[in-house]
Amino acid sequence: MTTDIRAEVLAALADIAPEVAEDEVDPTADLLDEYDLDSMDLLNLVTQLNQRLGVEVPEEDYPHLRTLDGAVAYLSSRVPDPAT
Amino acid sequence: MIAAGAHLAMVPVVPGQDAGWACLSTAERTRATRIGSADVRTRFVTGRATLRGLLALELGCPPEDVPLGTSADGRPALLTPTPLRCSISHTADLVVVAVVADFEVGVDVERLDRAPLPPAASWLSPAERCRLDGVPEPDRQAVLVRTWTAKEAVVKALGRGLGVPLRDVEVDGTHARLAATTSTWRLARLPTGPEHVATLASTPVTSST
Repeated sequence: MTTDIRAEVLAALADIAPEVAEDEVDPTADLLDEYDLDSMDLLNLVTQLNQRLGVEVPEEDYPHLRTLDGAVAYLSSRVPDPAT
Repeated sequence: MIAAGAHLAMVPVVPGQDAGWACLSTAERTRATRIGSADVRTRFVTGRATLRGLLALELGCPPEDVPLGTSADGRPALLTPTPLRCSISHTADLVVVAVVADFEVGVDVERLDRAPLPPAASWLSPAERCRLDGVPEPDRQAVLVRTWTAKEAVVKALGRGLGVPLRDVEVDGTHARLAATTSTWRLARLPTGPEHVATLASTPVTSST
């Protein structure tokens, strides 16, 4: 499941910031600092993640999305379980 | 109340032009070195060097001696007690920097053709969406980008990081209010030329801190 979430986050990132090549993303790098994503990119990412994974991310949790690993960890605990 | 005497600089970002490197601190150089993309690194170096230049004028010291660091929430800030506040914003091709005394300040610049914009419901208040309905379609992009820069400028000046809902920053003309507070911000549109929109938000230090 974690692999799928990572793939979805990478696909969402590629969608909102095509210059962030998927195979180059350092999983611990700060996306805002090192890939120059800004608040608008982040809000677009939140929208994409909601569409792709069905997860609503409230504003106070946005800092979890600043790194790829952080986003995957955060989303893994919140993605609706298809078995239930 | 308007932030009197704000110092502004607008500098084009020129790929490969990292002349500002010489005045950066060790911490800034370390941060810049971690940035993988040369273009992104140039934006960072240009922003910091420009800010150091403005602060150097205020402090009467060389740019490399400006005690510029980073606050806990990632904003540029002076490391010594001072009434000076500062803010940096950039697009891929333009850096905007503001320095002002005794006012909290935030700047944001965007390209007018920025796309895609997030869904309106995710960042506009109900009143703002209502007003947007009355804006003719050809003018909408400009109104939306301008509104975005105003909200973003306020959020940056608040310094609370990414957690402030943009919907709670109510923009109306030359002012913005923060929902459920008495915090009021003066907005100034900055003269960036036809391809960009930039807004400066300010409020007296004492009323918001």
